[in-house]
Amino acid sequence: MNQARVPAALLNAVKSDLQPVRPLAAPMRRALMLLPLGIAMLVGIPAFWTWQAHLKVLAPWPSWLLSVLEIGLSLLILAASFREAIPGRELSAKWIAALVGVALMVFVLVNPTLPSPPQLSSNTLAHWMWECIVRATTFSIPALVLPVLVASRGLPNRPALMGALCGLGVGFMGDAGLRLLCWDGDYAHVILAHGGAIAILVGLGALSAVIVERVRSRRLTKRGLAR
Amino acid sequence: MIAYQSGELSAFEQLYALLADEVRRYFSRTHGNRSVVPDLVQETFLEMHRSRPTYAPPLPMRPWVFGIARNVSARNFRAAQMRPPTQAMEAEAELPLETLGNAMPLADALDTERAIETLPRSVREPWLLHHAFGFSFESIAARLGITPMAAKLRSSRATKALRVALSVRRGRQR
Repeated sequence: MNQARVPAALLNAVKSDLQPVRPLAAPMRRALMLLPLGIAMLVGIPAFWTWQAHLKVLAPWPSWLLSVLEIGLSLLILAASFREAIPGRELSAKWIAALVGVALMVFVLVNPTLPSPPQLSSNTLAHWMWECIVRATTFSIPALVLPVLVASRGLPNRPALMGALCGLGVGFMGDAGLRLLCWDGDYAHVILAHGGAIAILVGLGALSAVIVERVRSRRLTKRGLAR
Repeated sequence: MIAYQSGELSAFEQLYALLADEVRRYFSRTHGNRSVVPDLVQETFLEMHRSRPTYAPPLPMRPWVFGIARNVSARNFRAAQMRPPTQAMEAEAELPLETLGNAMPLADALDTERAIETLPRSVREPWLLHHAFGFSFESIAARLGITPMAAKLRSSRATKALRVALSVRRGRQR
């Protein structure tokens, strides 16, 4: 075996901070810790936006089951994102394609189960779209902070992808709550409004993860032994 | 690795002995500039130390270590992209006084002294403190109340100005 000796500066740096550490929990376990966040979004979004005035118009219980399915999927996506953040455990292109494919399929199958509205003016439809985007993002954007921080405890080699997956997961959580109070099950509305909200979160997730990683790497570059 | 995670220094030394060469070979393949390889190897082990909670024990260790090495490599590329002109200036600023003299063999000490005197004070001080007194840019920065980068830049500007001044004098002497 090679007997390379540890350089003194490195050894000192390691010695100065050599405390026992507990390995991070498995990605799925960490994702499950965010289940309360999912439940809060599932219940919180319809409860907040339909408070008192429109409680009766909330979706019937089978629709809630489909939303629970979306929450399950969102936790799976978040687990994938947490795994992506572990060095050497990055997701393969096949896994990413499969995950995004399943997510799209669930999104397309679950959302249009809502009733389609009668013929309405394009202004009303546009207003509803805007309403849905605002309602979803008002809750989802603050909620995105938590998974991005959890994922950033790792050392992602592809921070944009990791953040995008975080955004996708939180986007699905938001959609699970949003679809319970949405009045429009039309495909155009679902894709543009609900899908748009998810796309915004995917973009924000990617951006925030890249920023977090850049800030951290800049700090480490400054603190590094060699520089 | 489990022993290392539980805080044993000897385990880290063993890991280093086991992996340092492989990591060095990895960086030698991926980086054209061989002079940065030892720094990157150290940086990788330091990052490995910081990120040791991210390793999950039953899994193989090498993919984890090389994942960290990839991260360090990407960070190094980004840092290099962000500071190419500065690095060149830094190298120039760190030229010892003798190098300057070698570049202009006809310039005698008196000429050099006069040329230094003609420099504006703002660039003369950092240059003298670094080249004549051997202070690091960090300590010059602390002394003059400027940033280390500003100290390097001023010293670099002084070097350039000196070079111009001395080559003019050399031209006159010919």
